Amino acid sequence: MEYILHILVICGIYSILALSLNLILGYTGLVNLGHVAFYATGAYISALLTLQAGLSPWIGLLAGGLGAALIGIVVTLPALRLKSDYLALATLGAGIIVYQVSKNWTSLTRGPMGLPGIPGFSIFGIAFDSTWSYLILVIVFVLITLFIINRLVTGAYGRVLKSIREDEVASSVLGKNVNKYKFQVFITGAFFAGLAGSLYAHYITFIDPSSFTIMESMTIILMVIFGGMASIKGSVAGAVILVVIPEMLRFLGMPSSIAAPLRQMIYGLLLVILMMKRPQGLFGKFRFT
Amino acid sequence: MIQQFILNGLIAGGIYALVALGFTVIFRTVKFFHLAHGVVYTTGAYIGYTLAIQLKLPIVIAFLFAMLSAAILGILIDRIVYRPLRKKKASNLILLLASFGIFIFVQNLIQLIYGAQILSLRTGPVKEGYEIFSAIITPIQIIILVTSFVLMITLWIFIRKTKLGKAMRAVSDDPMAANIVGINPERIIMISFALGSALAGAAGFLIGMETNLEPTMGFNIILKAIIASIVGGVGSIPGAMLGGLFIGLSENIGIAWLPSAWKDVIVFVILIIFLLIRPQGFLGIKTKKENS
Amino acid sequence: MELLKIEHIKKSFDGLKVVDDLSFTLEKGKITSLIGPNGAGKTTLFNILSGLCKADSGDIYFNSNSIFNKSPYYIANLGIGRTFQNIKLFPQISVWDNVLLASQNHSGEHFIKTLLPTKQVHEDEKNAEEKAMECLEFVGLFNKKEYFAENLSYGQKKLLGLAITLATGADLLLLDEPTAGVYPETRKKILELLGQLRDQGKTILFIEHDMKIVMDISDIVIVMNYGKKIVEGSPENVKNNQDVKDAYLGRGNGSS
Repeated sequence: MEYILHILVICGIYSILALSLNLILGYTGLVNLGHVAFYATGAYISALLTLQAGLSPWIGLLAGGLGAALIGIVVTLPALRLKSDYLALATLGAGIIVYQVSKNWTSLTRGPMGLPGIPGFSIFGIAFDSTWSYLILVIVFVLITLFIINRLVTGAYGRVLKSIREDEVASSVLGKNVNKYKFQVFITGAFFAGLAGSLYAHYITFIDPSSFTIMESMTIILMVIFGGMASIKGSVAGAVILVVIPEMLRFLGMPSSIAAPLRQMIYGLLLVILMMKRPQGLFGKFRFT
Repeated sequence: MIQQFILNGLIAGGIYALVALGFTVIFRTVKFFHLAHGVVYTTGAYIGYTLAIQLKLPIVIAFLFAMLSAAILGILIDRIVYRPLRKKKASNLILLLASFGIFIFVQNLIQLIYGAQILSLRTGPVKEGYEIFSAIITPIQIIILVTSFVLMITLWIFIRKTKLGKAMRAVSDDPMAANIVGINPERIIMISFALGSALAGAAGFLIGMETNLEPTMGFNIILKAIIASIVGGVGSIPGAMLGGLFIGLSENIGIAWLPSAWKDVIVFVILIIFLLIRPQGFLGIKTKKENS
Repeated sequence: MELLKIEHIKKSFDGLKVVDDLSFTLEKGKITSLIGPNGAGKTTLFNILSGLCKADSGDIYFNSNSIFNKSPYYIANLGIGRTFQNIKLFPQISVWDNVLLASQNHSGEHFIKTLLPTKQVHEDEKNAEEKAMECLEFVGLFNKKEYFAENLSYGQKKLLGLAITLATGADLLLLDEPTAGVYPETRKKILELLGQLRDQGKTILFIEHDMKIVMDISDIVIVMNYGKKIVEGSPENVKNNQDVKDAYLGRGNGSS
């Protein structure tokens, strides 16, 4: 039971990541290969503020989100003026840089040794220290994310995002300030990824750079595409399926030296097959061409 | 001391230039960022390991076969994945994501076969180096430097002088027009993948002789190669070589002052500076958004 | 009253002068056609006017505001709408949403306001829907509103492009070959619509190759060649101008 609750917490955290990436990738059509950078930033800022500065994890959470959003600004500022391929590269670069910083700035992050003993959340003296109580906390954040992203993608605002995805020149000729929208979307997506990072750090209580490699970006992208581009329920479904499947592989009793690369191979292959055969994913409407 | 950094920069730069050149040759015909070029490099290195270390074949033979297998892998990637997507007129975004998928797949396949541990293509103990301009260069490094420059210049001459090279340029400039004058673009794309991938395989092999092999080695190199080609000017052959050398020199001279772990960060800072100030690179034409 | 004033616009690509010292003005409520051989610089001029392409020098005033080398969205917000020769729509969005996208200064397109919707947002959406309905009915596509734009026929796509441009409420419409490649019935319909738009007080500048259409519906004809304006005048004057015959009609590809 404890194990199932744990899996659900992880599903929730990945749902936030997938939803926030879907806003950027699925709805607005911006290729972001470095979503993990925002996730890692949120986790590290939140962990460091609580561990080093002794601040409340809630402040850490907020700062983690804002710090990730700041990274979002730094990445998109130079790249938005250019073709989308360059944005993809700049985000990939952000993923690498954040990873390198977490690994090499040892005086701050302790590098590969990681940060242990990250305290959990508590409210009015009640600590979220059991798995089920943490699950409730995560569900609350999933719902907040769902609510806000749903607001953004339905209605007039979401219409503009989709128009940018379809044809940004046509969109600008209709009076839409395309770069402003891209910017807002990136910052919002980064903010929620930062929150997810913080939720992860305070749940696992230990973070190290190995949780934030570029493979993590790959996993989140796959969740979005598999579930369906521009589909809210697709992102949640994608997150749940891609968290649960590898857990099942674990029951097959493979040693991790085989299971880990095998899992990544399946992910890579799945991405290629989806791109070739069904770019709209399970629930998506958008075919991405 | 600085001479040593410059020399190291030239050696690293030569490798980057080689990969960037291969990337550029492919980019010119398919016009998207072929990320999986990075694992072609890794594959070249590991095939080289199997041939030279496990099967103990002569190093030159192993080198040539590594290039050949890299070329075959490049062609296969294009045939199996890119070509069907091209037929469907898939967008660059789809191609880029598919390329990312291939990258992850092959990299983990290599890890599954060879394990995650660090391997080396070194066949003997490291020989003592020679001293030039108060910098030390080992015989292996001389081989790397010479081979990479010879390969680059050969390719450049091939593209500028031969009929096939001219056809490749024609396809790059205007595929429709090239088709009309009887050049088959698909054939040219295949040749580009073969040549570009062979260069990546060669680079992977060379770096394996100097440093180590790791399944994840292709990731860093493809990023640097792409950045090198942006710095040099996307799609420009001399630009790719210049960019590669520039990146290699900057990161190695940069670590004269900074800890060596920050090499990659230096490179990305260069990328950001270029994207902000000169997105078309040293030799490129404008890469800003096209106007319709 | 002059709505648009173009002064000494110059633009070259790689040393080739595509638009060369071009000046003219457009009167409000008139249909002006822009003609000239292929490569005369007509579409480039459109791109400069709508901000998609930066000119090298010159000046452009719209309602006395300078729009020279301003951003496309800024120009669109001021009230210049355009269509594209190779129709630019949003293919994987419904026809209805395509037209709704044309609404200007919609508060629901604002980040904060969409998160905390005010009355204003609902009102703007309602206005946008009314406008969209009106424009779709005007071009006769209202019954197709649930379709994805990519599923329309070519002629319907042209009409949708026009409907979108209309729904922006723009005063000046830049239409790049609005009737090219469509069936005669659709062409007739589009031309009728253009006449109705003029009667509503819209100003239209359009690029056209079919001389009969040009002669029939234009108030003013401007002829371009090699980036320069060679003649401007009433259809009658232009028809009889020797320069025009040499540059354009003389090649025998314009008259039909």
